[in-house]
Amino acid sequence: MPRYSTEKRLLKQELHLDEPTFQYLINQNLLTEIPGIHQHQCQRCFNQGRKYFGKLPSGHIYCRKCINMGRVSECEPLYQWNGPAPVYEQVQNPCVWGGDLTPLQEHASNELVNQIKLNGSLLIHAVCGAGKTEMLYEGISYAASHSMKLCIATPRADVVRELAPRLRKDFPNVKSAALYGGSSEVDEQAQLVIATTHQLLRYDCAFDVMIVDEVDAFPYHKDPALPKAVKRAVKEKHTLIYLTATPRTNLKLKSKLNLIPTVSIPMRFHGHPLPVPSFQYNKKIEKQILEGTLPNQIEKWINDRGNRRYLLFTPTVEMAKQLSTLLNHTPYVYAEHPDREDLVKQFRYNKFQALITTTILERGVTFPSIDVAVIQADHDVFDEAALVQIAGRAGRSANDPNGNVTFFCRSENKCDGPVETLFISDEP
Amino acid sequence: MHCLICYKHLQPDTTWSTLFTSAEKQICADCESQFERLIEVSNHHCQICMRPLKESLNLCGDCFAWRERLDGRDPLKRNMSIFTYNEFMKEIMTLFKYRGDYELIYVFKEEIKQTFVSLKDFAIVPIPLSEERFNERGFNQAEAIASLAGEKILNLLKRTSSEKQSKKTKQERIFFNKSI
Ligand SMILES: [Zn+2]
Ligand SMILES: [Zn+2]
Ligand SMILES: [Zn+2]
Ligand SMILES: [Zn+2]
Repeated sequence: MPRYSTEKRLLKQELHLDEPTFQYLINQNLLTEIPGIHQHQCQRCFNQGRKYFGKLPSGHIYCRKCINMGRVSECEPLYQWNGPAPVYEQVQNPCVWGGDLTPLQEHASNELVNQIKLNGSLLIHAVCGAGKTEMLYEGISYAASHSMKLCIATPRADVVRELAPRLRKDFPNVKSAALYGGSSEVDEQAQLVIATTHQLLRYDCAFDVMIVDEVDAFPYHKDPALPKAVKRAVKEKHTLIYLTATPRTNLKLKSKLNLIPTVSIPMRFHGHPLPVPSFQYNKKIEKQILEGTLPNQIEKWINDRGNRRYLLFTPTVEMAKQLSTLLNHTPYVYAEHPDREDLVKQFRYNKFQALITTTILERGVTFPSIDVAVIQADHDVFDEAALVQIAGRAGRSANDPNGNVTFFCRSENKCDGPVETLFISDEP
Repeated sequence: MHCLICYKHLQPDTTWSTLFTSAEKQICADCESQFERLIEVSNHHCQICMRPLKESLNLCGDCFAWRERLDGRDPLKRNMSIFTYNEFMKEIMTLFKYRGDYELIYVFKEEIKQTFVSLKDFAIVPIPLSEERFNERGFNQAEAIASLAGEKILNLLKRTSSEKQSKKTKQERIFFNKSI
C-alpha cells in the first residue's frame, strides 16, 4: 500500500513507486488517475487564468502556477489512492505539556473541543501573544485520542518551522509531519500535520479537523485558491477553526451574524495588553536611507536600545540592504534570502543584537525580550493586520512585557487614523 | 500580454524605440533589468570562452592550459555567451530545466535570433538528452534553445551515458567526459 498517496492528489513521481507496483495498483483500481488539467482548470491548484498556462512542444497544456510543486499537465495526471481509508491510532493522553491556561484561554480551549465534537466551526480572535498555541492543545489531544487527523495550516514556513518542534515535544506520541516548500518531510499517515497553506493543494478529503492560522494574512485572504484548497483538504464531516489577530471584514461580518461562533481573547497570556506603539514622523525617511544617510531619529532609537535586542522592519528588500550597510552590516533577511533560516536561528540564539527584516518575520516567529521599529510604517505593505502582528513581536515573554514598539512614518495623517485606533479597538 | 516571468500585465507602449524594433516584448522592464549581459559586464573577454579578462590578455588561464595540453588541436573554437549566470538567471534556469516550465524559452527568443544573424557557415547540433530525462521533462532544453535561432537543426549526436552533467565536478567533467 503506498503510504504516501492516501488522501492526496499526487504526481506519479511523488508516489515513489516502482513501475510494476504502479501498474499493478492502477490495474487493481487502487489508484485513480485524475486528469491534470480539466475544463481549462488545473486540478491541483484551481488555476483557471489563461496567462498561467503554458504549452509543451508536444502540444499539451501545463499549469505554470503550481509548477514549483512539480509539473501538472494534460499528459501528467494526478493520482489518488482509491483503496481502504487509513485508520489512525487512538493515542491515549497524548499531551505531556504541564502548563496552565488562563481563564480566557481555557474558555477558548473548551469551545474548540466542543466544536470538534459537533463537527462545527469556530473563529478564535486572539491578539498576538495571547498564547494561541496552548489554546489548541486540548483540541489536538481530543483529535489524537479519537483517531482523527488534524492539520494546522499557516501562511508562512517560518511558523511551521517554529511550531513543529514545539508540538512534537508536547505531543511526543502523535505521529506528525511538518510540510513547507523545501522541507524534506512527507506525510506518511501522520495524524498531526503542520503545513503552509500552499501544501494543502496536495490534499483531498484528508482532515477531520482543520485549523487555519492567521486567516487574515497574505496570501490566504488574497489568493482565492487557498480557501478552496482548505475546502478540498477536509473530509465531508469536519471541523474548521480559524485563528486571527485582526479578522478582516468578511469574517468579522460572519461572526457578527452568528454564522461562525466566535471567541475573543483580547489579553496576552501574561496578562499585559499589546504594547502601544509610539510614532515618529519624518517625511524624508525613505529618501535619506536610499541615498545612504541614516535618519537621526532612527540613529537615536537604536542608541536608546542599549543592550536590548531589536528587530527593524523595512518595506522593501532594497531598503533592508541599504540599512544594513548604514548600520555596520547588521544582518538582514527577506523571503528569498539564501541564508534566511540560518540568520533567524542565529538571532534567536542571541548571536547578534539586531536583525533587519522585510515583512516575512511579522507573524508567528517569537524572540524573547525584543524591541521593534518599523521603518516607513505607512508604506502599503504594512497593512493593519501586519502592524498589529509586528507590534506583537515586542515584549513576548512574561519576564519582559514592556517591549518598545516604534513606527516611523512619512506623513502624520496616514499614520494616525487607522493605525492608532487599531490598538485601542482590540481591547474588550 | 503578460510578462512571461512575473505575469505582470505588459503595457503595449509606443515610444520611439519600440517603433523601430519590431521585437515583441515578452517580459517586463523589472525582469529584463535583472538579466546581466556579458558584454555589459566587461568589454574585454577571453577569445575562446568569453570569460571577462584583463585588457592585457587574450586567453584565460583555462583556455591557455587547454591549448598547451592539446597542442593547438582543441576542438572548441569559440564559445559565445549572452548572459551571465547570476542569481536571477539561475532561478530562471531551474524553473526551465528542472521544473520543466517550457514557456520560459521565449524569454530568450530575440537575443538568440540576433546572435545567429551575425554568424555564417554553421550547423546547429543540439546536445542530446537521455531518453529518461526527455520523458521526464517533455523536451530537450538544448534543442528548445536551438529552435529559437530559426535555422535548420541537425541531430547528429547520440548520448552514450545518462549521467547528469551538472552533478559532476569541473574536474570530473574535464577528465572523464569523453563522449562529447
Ligand atoms: Zn496548477
Ligand atoms: Zn516581469
Ligand atoms: Zn492582464
Ligand atoms: Zn577562456
